[in-house]
Amino acid sequence: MIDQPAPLATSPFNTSSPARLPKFRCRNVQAYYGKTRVLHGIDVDIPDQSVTALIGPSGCGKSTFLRVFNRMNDTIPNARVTGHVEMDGIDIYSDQIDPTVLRARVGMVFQKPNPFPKSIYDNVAYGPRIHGLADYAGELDDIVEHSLRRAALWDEVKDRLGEPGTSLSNGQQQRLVIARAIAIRPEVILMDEPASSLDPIATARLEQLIDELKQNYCILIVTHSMAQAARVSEHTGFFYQGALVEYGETNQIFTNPVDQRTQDYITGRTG
Amino acid sequence: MTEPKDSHKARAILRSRKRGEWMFRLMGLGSVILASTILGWLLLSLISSGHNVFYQHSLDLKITLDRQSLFSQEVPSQQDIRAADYRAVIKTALEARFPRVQETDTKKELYALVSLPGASNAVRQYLSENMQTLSESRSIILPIPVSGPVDQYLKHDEGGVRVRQTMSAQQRIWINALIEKGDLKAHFNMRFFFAPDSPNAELAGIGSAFLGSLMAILIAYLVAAPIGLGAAIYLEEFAPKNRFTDIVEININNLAAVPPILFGLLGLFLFLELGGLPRAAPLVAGLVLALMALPTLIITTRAALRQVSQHRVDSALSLGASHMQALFHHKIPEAGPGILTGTILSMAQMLGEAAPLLLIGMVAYVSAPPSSLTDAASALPIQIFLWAENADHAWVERTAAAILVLLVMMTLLNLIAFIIRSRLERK
Repeated sequence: MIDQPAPLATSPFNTSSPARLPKFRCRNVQAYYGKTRVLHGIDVDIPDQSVTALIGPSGCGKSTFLRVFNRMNDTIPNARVTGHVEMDGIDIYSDQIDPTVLRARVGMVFQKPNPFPKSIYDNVAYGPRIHGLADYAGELDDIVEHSLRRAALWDEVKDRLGEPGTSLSNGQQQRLVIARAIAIRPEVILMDEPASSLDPIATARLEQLIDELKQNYCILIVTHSMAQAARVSEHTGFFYQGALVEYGETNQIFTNPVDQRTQDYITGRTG
Repeated sequence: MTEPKDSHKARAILRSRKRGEWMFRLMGLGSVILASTILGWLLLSLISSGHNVFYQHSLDLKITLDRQSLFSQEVPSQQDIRAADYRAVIKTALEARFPRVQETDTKKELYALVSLPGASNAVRQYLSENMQTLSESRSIILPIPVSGPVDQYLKHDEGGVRVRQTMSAQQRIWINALIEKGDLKAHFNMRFFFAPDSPNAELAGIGSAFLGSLMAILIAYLVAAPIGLGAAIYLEEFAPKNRFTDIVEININNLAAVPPILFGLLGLFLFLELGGLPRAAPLVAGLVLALMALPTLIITTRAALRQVSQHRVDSALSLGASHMQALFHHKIPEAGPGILTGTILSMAQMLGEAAPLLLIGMVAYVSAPPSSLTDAASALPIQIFLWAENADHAWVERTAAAILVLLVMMTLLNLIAFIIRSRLERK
């Protein structure tokens, strides 16, 4: 158990963390919905600037665990998270942390592409606007363009930024949502089955994008597709019935799992 | 292919299942047909008895306006013109039209051809607009509203036994003479829409009741919409889940089913006894209707809020929006069409509500249109209620016509709600 923040980082806004230190440290993380415990004491370190995949059968708690990192579980009535979660050495569940500030640093992409019923421009500009990130007139335009470029969507939409975000294709919508998340300059991007509603071509584009983004971001991705986990991630955690059964390098998990349950799942015998 | 052993039984079961489905469909179709027949019949009977009201007859009468016999002053003021009695002028004009009438009784029959108060009003209005006529003392031809029985007689094709009985033989001769001359004309009945109530059916209109309803609905909307919206948002988004809010919720649901007349009693006590507000005022009517509309409004608003996809709200939250921002930037705009529809529909319902208004004193005959929110006024459903008490055919027709107007208004409101919803939901 780590009770004290690591000495290197002193402020919750400190964004400089040495690459070798883990982005997140989780110790004995438990989550409850009412009286039902859905996470049974998770201990794990999540590395920065890489992709960590969370796999497991439905209802195993991997999505709940993902929502631990941006405190989205706070928004669910009756949900409760205990234990210790550190980001850059700071306890993100301490009273000093405002969840809205945390969520500006930890972006999230959901399963279903869900652009706001606004223009493409306004979708991306929404986050910067509410956080006041643009100081002068043209800066918002720059942020929007930069974010759309990072999300590999700029070339497809630059001539129709005024059109509603919902008019895009599913794959484009999902990249728009990623651009929207990037626009507030997060350090972490959480992805909850981001490709589950996309066709194979859009999925390939998305995976390519994830590969590019990991240079700058810590990415956590929940996926049902083991092939996808194998393709995009450096590390993989296997969840089963609310417990993190096995965590390690993706290669090792998929080729030589230690736990029998992991083996059963990746070979298709369970799940 | 060999049939399974119990295929006979299976087929029997299948047959009975199909029969069940067929019966169910038939019953459903029957109910729909029955319901629409009843509705259609209601509408048809309303139209057939009410359509006559939308036109009315008037008599072009040559009237001589003589200043000296009408006014004592040299130059009468507007006040004098308003106060003067013009019945004599009308009577003289009628006598001039049929000079052979001499006996008093026959004269009375002659005067009964026109609506004397309506005729007086027509002359009064003409004079107040054209004062110079007095000094020139010339004759003018004015359209004078005919009396109720004559109007009925003309409308019913000089037929209907019941109508004919109200006319004497002599009167019928006069009417026919007037028709032949082309002095009796039918025209669109503006009076019905704009005139206030009157003891004379041929002069009565829904104008002031309409205005009273409009004022009351406006007040009800201005009071109920913000309170209902606020309560719904608070209950849906911020209220803690505990026994107290459970009780509040149950009570709101129950209040929506409380008989309207009880809201009238509540309003009587709250606004008239405690608040000291005047009886029959559109302000009080609006407040009572607001009370009545609140539970439904809260329920529909909450339902609309609950229908918003949590995904969008989650998206906003995940971008670091606060609860309030997610609510006001995303959830409420998205629930907007639903909330608006609910509001309009509940206002339409309030428009047709009579019972609570009766209790706050809106039962008296009010002739003048309300000039302020605290003036005594009537309302459309109340007007209908009052007119419906008269068995006279002219009143039955007017009641039906007023109901038609109310129905048209409610249909319009529902249509607006429908259009808003389909417009906004397409986005």
